[in-house]
Amino acid sequence: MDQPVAENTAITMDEFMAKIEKHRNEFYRYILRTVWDTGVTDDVFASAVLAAWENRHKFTPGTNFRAWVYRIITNKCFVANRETGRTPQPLENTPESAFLTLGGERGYQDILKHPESVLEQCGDELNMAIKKLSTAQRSCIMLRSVEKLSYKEIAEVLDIPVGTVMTHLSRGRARLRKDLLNYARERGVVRDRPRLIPKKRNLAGSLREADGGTQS
Amino acid sequence: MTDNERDNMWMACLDGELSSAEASAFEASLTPGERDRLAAEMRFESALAEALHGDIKCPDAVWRRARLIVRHADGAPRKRRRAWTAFFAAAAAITVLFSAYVVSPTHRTREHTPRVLATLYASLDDFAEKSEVPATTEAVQAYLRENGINLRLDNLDTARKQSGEGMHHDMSLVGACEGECPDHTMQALLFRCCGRPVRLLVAPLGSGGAHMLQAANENNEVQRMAIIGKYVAAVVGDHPAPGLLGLLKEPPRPVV
Repeated sequence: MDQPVAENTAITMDEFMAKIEKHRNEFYRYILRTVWDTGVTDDVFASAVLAAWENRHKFTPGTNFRAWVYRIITNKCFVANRETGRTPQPLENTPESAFLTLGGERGYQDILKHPESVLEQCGDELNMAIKKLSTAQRSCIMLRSVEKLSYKEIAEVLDIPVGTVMTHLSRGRARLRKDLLNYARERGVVRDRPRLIPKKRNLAGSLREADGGTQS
Repeated sequence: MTDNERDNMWMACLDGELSSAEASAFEASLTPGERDRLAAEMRFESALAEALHGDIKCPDAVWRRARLIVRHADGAPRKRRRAWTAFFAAAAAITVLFSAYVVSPTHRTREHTPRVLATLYASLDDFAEKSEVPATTEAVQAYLRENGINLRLDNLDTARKQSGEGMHHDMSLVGACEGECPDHTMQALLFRCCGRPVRLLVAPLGSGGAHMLQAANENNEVQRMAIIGKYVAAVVGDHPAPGLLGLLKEPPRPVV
């Protein structure tokens, strides 16, 4: 049964625009990171603001205005990506536990030890890695990691169950980290092979053992 | 617990979605190595969020454009139409398109051409709201200088006397503002001519604004265009405003 929609046409245009303006930078950033084209971003931003204004009567007062606008924006982004050929990429046999299995990958610990410097050295590769994600994965990561929406809010924005949000996050993060790891290995930012020379303290330890433990 | 469920628990813990009791129970189930990884993943997420944030901001021009588009909308929420209403609306649209494109192709109007300049037919109210300076020649001249446009703006009375193009008498300056160009290189001088809005757009040669004006010219959105020194200037608006280009000084060379 359809829920009655609260009438909210009383809001003036100035009040409405003030509400949007409060979040305009984050809305714009989200669109830019989701459609990846400045010209398209400008158009999506304008058309989403217009759509929100025209559908303002569908917004229920007292509920989350920010999440409601994100939902409109996300729909526009999905349409824009379809029109420009940036269709969501298939999940490509990503194993279910892709995130956890990353821990066993060589060099991954190096990325986790120095995330700032690794991300700085990756530069454009981070953008490329984000672009390779499906639109849904990208949206989930942007909305959670950058815009700090809760899982429940993201589920409302994307109109999917919370469990699916978690799966998109898990697989998207795994894929993003894997791409960054591969790049970091290629560039020599992290170790690609197991250590052939024992660590210094081990070497010293073995020397002590060889000397019968006389050295201090 | 399946692998997928374990991954989801990690996500929830990473994102602070678990209650304190749930988080304690989950962390107690981890090995020391896994606990270290969880802490490291949290630091990675924080660094990743900062990198993706990138201090990206919505440009003022984009925001102004969005406001303008909303202001131009009819304002009333769309209502559900009955099927027959939609049918008659579609039939009317087809009739209009048929008469415009088939019956009298010579009478095609600019409205049927995709616009390069978003606010080509802005209203005088928009002009008054958008203007960033008072409606005086001195203020607009200072505005141009502040925005790196080194051209002299003549007083309207002086220009009217000198103009050989029959400049309209009912013309006044409304103000100036930034033009709608993504790289912010275009400036707009706003005029009222015979009660209608007319804009004089100016941008440095080779800039994004200049390319935009060129495209608009090819799209028949421009009344007149000329190169004035190191700038390209164009008159836009649905009311003819002869002589307006002559307000900006340096000998103009008409563009073919």
